[in-house]
Amino acid sequence: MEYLSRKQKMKKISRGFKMVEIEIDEDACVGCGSCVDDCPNNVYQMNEETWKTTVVNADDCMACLSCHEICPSQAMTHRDIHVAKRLYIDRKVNDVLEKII
Amino acid sequence: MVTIALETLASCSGCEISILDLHEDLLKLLEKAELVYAPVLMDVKELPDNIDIAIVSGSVRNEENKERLEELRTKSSILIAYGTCACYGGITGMADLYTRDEVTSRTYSDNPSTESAPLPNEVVPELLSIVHPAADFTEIDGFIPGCPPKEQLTGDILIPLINNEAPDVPKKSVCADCQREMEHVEYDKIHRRVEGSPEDGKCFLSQGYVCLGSVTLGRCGGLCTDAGVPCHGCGGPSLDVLREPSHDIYNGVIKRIAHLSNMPEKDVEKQMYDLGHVIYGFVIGSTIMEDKLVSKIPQLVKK
Repeated sequence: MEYLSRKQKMKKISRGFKMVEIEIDEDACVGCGSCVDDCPNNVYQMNEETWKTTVVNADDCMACLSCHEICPSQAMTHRDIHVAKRLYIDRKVNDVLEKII
Repeated sequence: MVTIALETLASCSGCEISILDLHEDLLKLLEKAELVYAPVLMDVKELPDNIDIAIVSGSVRNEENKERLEELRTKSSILIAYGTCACYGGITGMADLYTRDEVTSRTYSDNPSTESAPLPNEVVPELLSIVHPAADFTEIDGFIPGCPPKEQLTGDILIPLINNEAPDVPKKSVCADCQREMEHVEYDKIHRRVEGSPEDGKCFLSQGYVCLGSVTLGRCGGLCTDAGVPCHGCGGPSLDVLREPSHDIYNGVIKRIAHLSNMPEKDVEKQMYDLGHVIYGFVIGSTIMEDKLVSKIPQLVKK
């Protein structure tokens, strides 16, 4: 049996799927580096000059959204991902969420 | 002409004043819209029929508020909950930290600075047992949280609305607007907001102050943090906190502080103080925040 690292496994699983596109809002980024610390696949790196996060390995993103979770300023947007994997969805909350202008 | 009504329930009228703060943009608004009802501006007692956009601010604290809100719903085609009180209970929700009887006796009979008086039993509308945000009683078409929503945001929302366009405004947390720099700094003591003086340009959380910026819906331009005051969460929960059943303002702040300071979460929790005011000050009346399994609100409110 061939040995695959976690990264390779994720790549294998994601083969055939569309790559995730990550957009960083540099104005929003506060430069805390939490996404760099938390990303299991090292997708992010700090830009040494501007001290804002940059996407260096978008191909390795497995769309776990840990970065989104830890980011204090919601600076990243992931495109083309399937987010409705939650076990429990509160309809009352969703109703309010949709209506926030 | 689009007809607009501004109604104030249990509120400080700050929200109505924030609409007046549109300044020149108010003229743009009035080109296409007409204010038909706004007790804060004009001498008017009864709601007219056929209101296109009704903007309601404040929470529902007594029977009269409730009646007004219901009347507003039947007479308007779009009803907008404007301001954190109308959306989540806001500041007025902190009355839920006390029972109804404690509130009334403090007002009428047991107040050290006034002469004791019997409780009125007519004219004054009866208090409901707890404070409710507007959405608890009626169908709301749009929520605009903020305390008050800042004039720029209000303009960016109201002007497209009267032109029948969808407003396009950011929905990020306060940190997105804040100019302070967040860094990982090891510390083991959380300061109260009145202790010491925080350093300029450096994130409050990195200095051990409780700041709710990362869990609060922003669009305020980070006004408080710019002036050296940690965020008190007046914008209500950020959309991430609202959306996820396992997220709450309390655990969001605890996790963030633990992450930045390297303190164990339990230690951070032990040092947290006065949750009713510091953490839940603006959302304590909100049922959706209270219904979260991780919420501490049920332990704080007295019903």
